[in-house]
Amino acid sequence: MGDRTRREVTGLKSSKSVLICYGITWVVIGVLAGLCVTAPMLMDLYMRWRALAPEVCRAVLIAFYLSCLPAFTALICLLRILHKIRVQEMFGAANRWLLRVISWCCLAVALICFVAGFWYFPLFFLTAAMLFISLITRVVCTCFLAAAELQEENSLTI
Amino acid sequence: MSIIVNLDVMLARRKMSSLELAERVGITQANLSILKTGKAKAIRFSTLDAICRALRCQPGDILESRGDASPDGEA
Repeated sequence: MGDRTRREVTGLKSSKSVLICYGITWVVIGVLAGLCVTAPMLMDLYMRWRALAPEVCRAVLIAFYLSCLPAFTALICLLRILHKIRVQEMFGAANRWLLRVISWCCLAVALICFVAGFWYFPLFFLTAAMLFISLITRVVCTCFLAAAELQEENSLTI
Repeated sequence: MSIIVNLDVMLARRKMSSLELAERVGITQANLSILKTGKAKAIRFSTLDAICRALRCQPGDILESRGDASPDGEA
């Protein structure tokens, strides 16, 4: 391994991974912001392409704009988690709280999609996907709690 | 925690300071303090070995059990 210790190599890899995640998250924020601006136009094109009823398009647009608030909240929470990971605070209470917020945001989007699904059926599949992501995030939060306990025990192992 | 780490007695016998012991063992003074104050949850054999070599003693000289448990583990 040369002059670098295994920990330094691992640290470099995780730092690169965090930077990539930062980049992707910002790209997603940008895309979402762009969609917020262009959604009516895109929906109009889609409506003509699929010959959808105007009330269906209206319902989908409303669901999209209502989902934007929890979506942006979740993305900002992701950025804050990544920042904490960069400063080596991985399993702290703050990160667990941010994960819970992301879970609740996914649940909120699932609920919005469920209601909108009565107008546009494919949104029910999105409901299922968001429920799944919400559940996974909750489980990851629980893993973080266990990891925090292990970390504390390890820090008190001399 | 019923295991007590009696470093002060051995440090006094060997006329060694905590700082010197920490340097010889290769741990920080903070970690040594955690050991002395009984806040440590575990100690590695390598650390125990290094402490015993530095203080020229046996593990039993610095580790003491003060639990109420009987030898077979029952309270």
